[in-house]
Amino acid sequence: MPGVAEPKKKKRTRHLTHSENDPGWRVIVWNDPVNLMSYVVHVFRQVLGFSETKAQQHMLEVHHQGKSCVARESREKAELYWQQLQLRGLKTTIERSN
Amino acid sequence: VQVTRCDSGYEWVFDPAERSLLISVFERLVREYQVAPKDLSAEVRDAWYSSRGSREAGQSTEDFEEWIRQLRQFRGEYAHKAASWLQAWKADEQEPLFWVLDREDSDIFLTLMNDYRLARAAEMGIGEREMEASWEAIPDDKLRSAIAEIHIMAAMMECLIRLNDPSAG
Repeated sequence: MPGVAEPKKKKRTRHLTHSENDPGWRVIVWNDPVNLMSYVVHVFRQVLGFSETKAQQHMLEVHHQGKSCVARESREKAELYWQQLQLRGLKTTIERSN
Repeated sequence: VQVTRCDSGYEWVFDPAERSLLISVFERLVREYQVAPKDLSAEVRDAWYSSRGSREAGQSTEDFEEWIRQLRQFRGEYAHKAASWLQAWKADEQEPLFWVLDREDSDIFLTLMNDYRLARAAEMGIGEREMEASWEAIPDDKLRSAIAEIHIMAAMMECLIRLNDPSAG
């Protein structure tokens, strides 16, 4: 099943720096009481391309530990995941890896 | 509500009461998707256009505004899609509804139902305690009604997710 098409982005004026290409950004999904477990698994599979098993593992980590790091990516890719996950209602943030 | 797979997607059957709820839910979504984030209640705005993590991610004001513009653009497309579904659902409202959801639209349908759940929960202050409470423990009719809608949307989402799973029979 195809995902939702990405809207056309306005051309950004800033250029990618070396650090923005580093896979140094973590995408974190946080627990919330409303999203269904099955829906979280579904979204992880759709957006992140996880297998059923991997999606289940991350969903359970979110549920039991309050959050899960679902990806380590470049700034641009992390932002894309952040937006796609947030658009589907998952509480998501990105942060610089230590 | 019943749903089964068919060649082009998923065939839904709603009785008149379910159909009426579906129409009411999606009409509200279409209305609220057209509202600028700044004009939504703080709770719904936080559910749909959260600024959480923006500062930590180092987003500038300009980046954040662009981010919100893109989220609104998606929801504008969803509103357009929902409006076309509503047109079909509103003919002969007193009858059961037989409706085919195209396979390529199932992700949008799920997102819309989830958005509704998130918005109602946020606006009514519904958390884990309220979601798991027994009916008798919820004295307020408005709150009870919102929780019921949230659970009905959840049941529909579960059906669709199960059918979406390629390993499902």
